[in-house]
Amino acid sequence: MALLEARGLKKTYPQGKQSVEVLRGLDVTVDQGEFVAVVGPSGSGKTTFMQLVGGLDRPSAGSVRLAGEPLETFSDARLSAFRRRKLGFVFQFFHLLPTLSAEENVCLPRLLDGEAYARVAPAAAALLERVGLGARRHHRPDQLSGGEMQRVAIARALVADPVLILADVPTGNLDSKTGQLVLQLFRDTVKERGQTVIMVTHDPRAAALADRVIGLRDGLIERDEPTS
Amino acid sequence: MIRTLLRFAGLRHIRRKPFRAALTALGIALGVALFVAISAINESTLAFFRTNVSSMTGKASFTVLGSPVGFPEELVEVVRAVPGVEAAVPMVESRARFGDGETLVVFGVDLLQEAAVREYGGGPGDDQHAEDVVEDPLEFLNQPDSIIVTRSFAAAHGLRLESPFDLVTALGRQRFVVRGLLEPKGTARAYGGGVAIMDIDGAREMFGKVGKVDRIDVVPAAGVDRDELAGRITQAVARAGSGLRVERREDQARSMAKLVEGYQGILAFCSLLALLIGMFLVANTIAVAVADRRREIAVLRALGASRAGILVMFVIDAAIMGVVGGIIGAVLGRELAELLVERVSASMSRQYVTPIDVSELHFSSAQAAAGVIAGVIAATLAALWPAWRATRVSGGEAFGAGPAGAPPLVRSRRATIRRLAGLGMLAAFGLLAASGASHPALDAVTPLLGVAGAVLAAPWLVALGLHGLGWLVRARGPLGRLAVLRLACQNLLRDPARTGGNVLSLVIGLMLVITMGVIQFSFKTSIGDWNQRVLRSDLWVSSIGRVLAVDVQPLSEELGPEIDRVPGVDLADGKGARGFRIVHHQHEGRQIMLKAMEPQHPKVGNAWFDVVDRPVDQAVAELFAPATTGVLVSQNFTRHFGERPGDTLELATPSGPERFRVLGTVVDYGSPEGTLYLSRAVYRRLWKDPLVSAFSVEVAPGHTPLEVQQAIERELGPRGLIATRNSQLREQFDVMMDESFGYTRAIELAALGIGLLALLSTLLLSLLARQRELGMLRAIGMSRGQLARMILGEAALLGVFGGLAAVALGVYIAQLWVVSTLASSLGWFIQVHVPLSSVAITVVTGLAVGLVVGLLCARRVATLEIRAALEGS
Ligand SMILES: Nc1ncnc2c1ncn2[C@@H]1O[C@H](COP(=O)(O)OP(=O)(O)O)[C@@H](O)[C@H]1O
Ligand SMILES: [Mg+2]
Repeated sequence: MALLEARGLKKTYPQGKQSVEVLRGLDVTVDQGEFVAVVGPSGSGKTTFMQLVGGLDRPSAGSVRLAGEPLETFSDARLSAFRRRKLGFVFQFFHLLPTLSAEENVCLPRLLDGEAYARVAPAAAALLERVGLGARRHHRPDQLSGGEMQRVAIARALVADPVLILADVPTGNLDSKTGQLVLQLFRDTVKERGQTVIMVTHDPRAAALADRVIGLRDGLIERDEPTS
Repeated sequence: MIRTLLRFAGLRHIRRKPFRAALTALGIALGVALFVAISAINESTLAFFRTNVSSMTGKASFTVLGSPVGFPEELVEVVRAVPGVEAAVPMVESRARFGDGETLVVFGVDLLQEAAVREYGGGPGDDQHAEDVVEDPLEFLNQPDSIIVTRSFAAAHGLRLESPFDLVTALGRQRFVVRGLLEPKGTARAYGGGVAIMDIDGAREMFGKVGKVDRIDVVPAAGVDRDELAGRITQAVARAGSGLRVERREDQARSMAKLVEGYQGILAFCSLLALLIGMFLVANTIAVAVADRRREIAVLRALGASRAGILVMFVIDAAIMGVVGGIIGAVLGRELAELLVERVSASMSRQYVTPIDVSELHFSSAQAAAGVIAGVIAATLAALWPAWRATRVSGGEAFGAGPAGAPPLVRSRRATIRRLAGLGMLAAFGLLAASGASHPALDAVTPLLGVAGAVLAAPWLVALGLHGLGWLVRARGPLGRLAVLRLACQNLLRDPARTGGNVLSLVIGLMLVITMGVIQFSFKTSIGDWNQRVLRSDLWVSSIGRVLAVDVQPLSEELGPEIDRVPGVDLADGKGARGFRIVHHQHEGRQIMLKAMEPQHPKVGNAWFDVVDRPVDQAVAELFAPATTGVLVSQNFTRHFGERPGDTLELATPSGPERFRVLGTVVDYGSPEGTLYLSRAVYRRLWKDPLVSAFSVEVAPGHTPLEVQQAIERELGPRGLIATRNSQLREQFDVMMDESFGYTRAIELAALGIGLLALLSTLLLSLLARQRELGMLRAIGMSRGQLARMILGEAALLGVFGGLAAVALGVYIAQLWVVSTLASSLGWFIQVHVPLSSVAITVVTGLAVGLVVGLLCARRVATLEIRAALEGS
């Protein structure tokens, strides 16, 4: 069964008196365990697509069915809970809380879900170990490098054991070596845990690491094909 | 170039952030409003004194004044005989109760001589003299119940010519008949129109002042040197030996104004504090604007803008807010002054027991302008520091890292220095205050040190509290589940110095609340306890029912035996009611209080005499021993004038200078300058004053105070006497204290208003700065409710910890202030009492302000669009 089914996805933004149609009807299906790269020129609607899939914004038309749930019918509270439990986000600018240690940042989604720190902390520690930051658990973001911060962010995205990880240009702010490290982590997640990753990237080599590439142009799917 | 900067960067910024600018301007407006209102009220009070004096003195250049109980009328001839005196016109001045406690000031004048000095207003253009007001002067004089009242008084009470009405005088209730009406002009304007005029002989009769004069107004002959004449009059009256003084017209207004100087000082201090809070608001707004526009500044610098240009850009921003705030504040201030003037003057009247009725508000355009200028200066000064910080931004930052870098946690050395400086100032303030050293310069510096120290230390105190809480809710701690609360707490701890700074305005506002609360409660408790200790009689009989006031209409001592005849009045040694006389007395240029007492009823013993340095009975026995003329001195009398037990004190009595032996020291809060207790027999002889202010009465066994009170009012009520039970006296005291401090509420509210605005503006700005983070939190699953709770939590925590810091600082400052500055200037020993209610009110007010601000902010973030927030647009 498909993990993600997006049907006729449209998004229109008002722009002054007119409005711009950013997504003009996308149909996308992603199965569990797939590693999907989304590519396309700047302004083609990649981020918008990720937002709609992640329930951060609502489509103007069409539907998103994720893990069997129709997201468009959810209230904001239910959507929030869904994001905490079923989704993981990784952003270009890391977005860690500067006041929390690496480990606490990783725990955050589950703490927000009401779990006790004592229960979440071991999982977070294990994840940090897995991304190679076991020794930096108690460091704060300002004591970490960009690549390290992004690995913390990935651990955070994984902590709730989500069904889908959405990463919007996760290597955009990293040099190519650390970028590779991050990509490898996604690769491993998909391979070893059967999790699903959708990743926006501008880098053809990064896209080549995925199982499948979806190309967007002007709000439409230009190509959708497996990598060779 | 600066003009270009302003065009493209400065002014546009205000237009782009109108809400923020408006909030800041409003804060300045509140500060200016208080400043303007208080200066208008103070100005109006002085104007009231000037009007009062000039309407009382008329054409006279000098006035001969003596003890408030009057001096012998023979002195009029003595003054009149001084060469160079054209006219010397006598007057007796009395207060009478009218209706339910309203006081009418009654002038007894020689109608035929009045024209020489005073005018009483008349039709437009023509001067109207007193004798013109009555149709038939002879008839007026023949009937001793004749009285002239002002038209406003008559209108207010439905009186017309020939209307009879009652006044309570020394002889009890008396009937008077209106035989003339005055326009409220000239002398009739004195005391706000609450005056009446009688013939001097009739007034002497009715008010128990036969053979006496209260003032003589002197008109010099043309061409006479005034200084010389003043000297000759002073000599002439000194030879007659009655402790009289000659005051020039201009000195009189000054000496009245001097009376309220301290009071006005406190008001002015409060208004400056409010302006100071407004300044913090401006400094905060500009600081955040600088932080907000760092990149823009960097770009401008990279493009070649000078440091001065950047500085001016921000300072002009602030100055514009200052102008707008100043103008709004001047308008608001006028309204506020109208609202407050009556309460303030009522409170002053009570504190100084002088009718001060500032009904006319003097509000000049100069005052409004001063308010606007104060606003602009305050805003500009406040902006200097953050604007200077802006000039330190280097152009290189324009090329620096993008928004990726998490803002570093600040642990700045400057904050440490500030904190240490603050603590040092507070310590210095404490030492100075506790040392009790008194010097005009120190008196000015000490409170400043306290306030400055508090300002510097407050952010640290708040941060300390937050750290404590942060430790409690630490992830591993018992509150680990409260992730949202913890996030709120940690957001506040991100930059503790700045967080503390954000609540500074609120802390100062709250400090004002707790300081006033402690001062008020300490006075109330100390004086209340003393009252309770000293005022033990079952009942008090007086003309006005307000036993604690000085300037009441006194009673004839003959009323004592009449009271004794009322059933239920306990007699001891054949005597029931004991009269006492409380009057002001001029001593070495200061107004002290005399309490002339009779030996007390055995039931209350010597409770009234709170002697601290000798066995009471011994001291009191000497006080009433026929052979001695002695006094008991209050502690503050010794403090101000030096005489202590064993010394001899010379007083200028209406019978000439007289030496008194100081028999002991008593606690007394009657007068801020000092109080003397003497035997009424001695007082009566030397002051030639047989009147009493009130009687104390004990209830015979088998009767209740209520019964006897009712009996007295039944028998003597028609004569104008009022009996007050002891418990009622206490209530009167409480009401009086509350009224004395009533005006402070408005000041506290204004200060809190500015604190709230400041907190709102800084919190909104900090949310703006953190919006990417908020977007992230929403993305990873924080619900709207959780986000709102986090923001609400932050604001509430700030409010509560601001309140706690205010309590700590406010109690510290108030305590030392009460113990030292205030108490030593008054010479009173005030014990510090910290009212739990004020502590609770302060913290709860802090919380309430926090919650209001939090709710406003939470409403804003509830509509946060995740995507826009994440992208920081
Ligand atoms: N809130 C918005 N309002 C108006 N237009 C928007 C908004 N968000 C994005 N856009 C526009 O939508 C288009 C697609 O944006 P986006 O999905 O971010 O593209 P990509 O991520 O592929 O660069 C762009 O032209 C952008 O300007
Ligand atoms: Mg994008």
